[in-house]
Amino acid sequence: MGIKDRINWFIKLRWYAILGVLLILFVSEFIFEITLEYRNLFFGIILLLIGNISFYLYNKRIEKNENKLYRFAIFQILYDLFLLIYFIHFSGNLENPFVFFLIFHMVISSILLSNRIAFFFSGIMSLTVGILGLLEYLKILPHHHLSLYKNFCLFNSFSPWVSVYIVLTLTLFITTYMAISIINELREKEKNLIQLNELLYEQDRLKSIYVFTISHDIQGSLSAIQNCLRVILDGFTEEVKGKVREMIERAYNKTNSLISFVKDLLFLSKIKSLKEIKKDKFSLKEVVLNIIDELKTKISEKKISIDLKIPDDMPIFANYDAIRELFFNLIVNAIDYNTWGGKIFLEIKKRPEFEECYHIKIEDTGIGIPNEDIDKIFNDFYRAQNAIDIKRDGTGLGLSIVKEILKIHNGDIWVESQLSKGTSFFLLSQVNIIV
Amino acid sequence: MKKILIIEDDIDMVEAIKVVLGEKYKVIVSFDEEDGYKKIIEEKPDLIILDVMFGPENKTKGFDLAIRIRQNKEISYIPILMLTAVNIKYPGFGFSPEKDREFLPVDKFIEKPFEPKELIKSVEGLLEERVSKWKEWPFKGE
Repeated sequence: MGIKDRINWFIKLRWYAILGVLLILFVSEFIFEITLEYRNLFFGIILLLIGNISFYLYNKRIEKNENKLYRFAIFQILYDLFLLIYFIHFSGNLENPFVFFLIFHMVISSILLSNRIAFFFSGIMSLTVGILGLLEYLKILPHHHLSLYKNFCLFNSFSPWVSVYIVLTLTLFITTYMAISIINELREKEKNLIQLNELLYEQDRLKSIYVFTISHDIQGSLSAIQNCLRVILDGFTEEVKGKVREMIERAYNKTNSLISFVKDLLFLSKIKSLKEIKKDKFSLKEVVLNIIDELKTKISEKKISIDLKIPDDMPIFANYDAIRELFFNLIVNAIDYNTWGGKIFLEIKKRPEFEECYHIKIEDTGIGIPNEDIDKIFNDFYRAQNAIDIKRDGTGLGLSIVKEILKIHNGDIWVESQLSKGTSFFLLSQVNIIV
Repeated sequence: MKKILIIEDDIDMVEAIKVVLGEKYKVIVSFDEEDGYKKIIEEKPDLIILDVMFGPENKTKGFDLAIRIRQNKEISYIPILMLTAVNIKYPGFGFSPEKDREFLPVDKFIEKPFEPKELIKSVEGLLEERVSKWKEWPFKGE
């Protein structure tokens, strides 16, 4: 939790404190029949209310500067401290059992501030309460006696109020010490967790770079094998016929599917190894139309009809190649796993509640995904059995790539599917993707 | 007969290219950056086919060599056809000869494995170009 969050929490807490004071006044008056200095106490409540409204408004427009925020926190604590002393003075001072509520204040300052300043506040608070007690005892300031103690006044002699004061001071310091110890330990744990998380992320990135390098080497060699076979099949060497040609074709096709696999692996490891991605502004509709144009032979072979619902003004700020790959993979899947004469419906719209969010839906009338496979289809290399039955040579990386691309663009994807009826993929891109 | 220099460290890939281009052109081969650069100066080929990544660490030495070629005014006019096993469209790579002419001064890209017909077409196209694009390189204001 950053200092800004802690200040927010502090302001929220103060609203409850205002309600709490009002409740205490009500309970004191009507249940315990204790008469208090209402005029002065209500004035205190109004000061607290005005203070918190100002803090709330200021907190909204304060810039995220650690030093400024820290000073703002100290100011609030001083303000509260002043009001607490005010309330204590007008409600019986150490006679008031609520004086122990000062402990809450100490816990809050231990959470919000540095250890030294938290102790400093404990000191200031104890000192102020002590001075106030002494002034009331010496009758320099009037003592507002609490009617709860009918015939007894704590400030009539020296030792009663001093004893309560010493216990209160000790409690304040012990509480501050304990709160600081716990908070320090928690902060240390939080720091370790953040470091560990960064380390894990870095390790994963290094692993992806390693996979990228290996995949690249493999692809280089596979390309050479495929080109050696290709020049034979294209007739650049002596003519080959019959079984020899068939066997070369088999080897060629096999290297072809291996190359697609390695290319997917390269893409996936590349995108996982990136710390940030280059972004440009381009039209989402154009991307989709280009892909459909590229895949038109495949689409017409299967007699698939495509229904597009994409507004013209859909500029997007993202990595062009990654977004192209994302739509390519999803549209190819919708074709490959569709039935003959099936339908694809692709809709992109802005979410009415968030101007910066796009909602994308890709629906097909294909084979569907079995229920037990739905959670696993975004895992690397995973393919549902009915998908393998219909297309043997898939890599199982297409949807992992889609998920990674969305991740780097702060988006998400989920799927709904009915076996033998079709599948719908829903994509949500968040603020960063759009300008 | 026009001369083509292939700078590529995979001997099998070189052989496949030679089979496709060998009949029509004189093909010279080099397997590393330094030797390649020397051969360009000595032989003054009409076209260079250059791999993006080569050498033991698979560094993008092809890019560096392309820049060296463009910096030397004696050979900077020679068209370069770049071969790459890394898909041109990888995010983070995302280079293109049109957009990135400043740090990637090459004329065309071909992806590995190549289509023989596409290779022939690209080579013919580049050899037909009479005026070099690289006289003014580095381009100011890009």
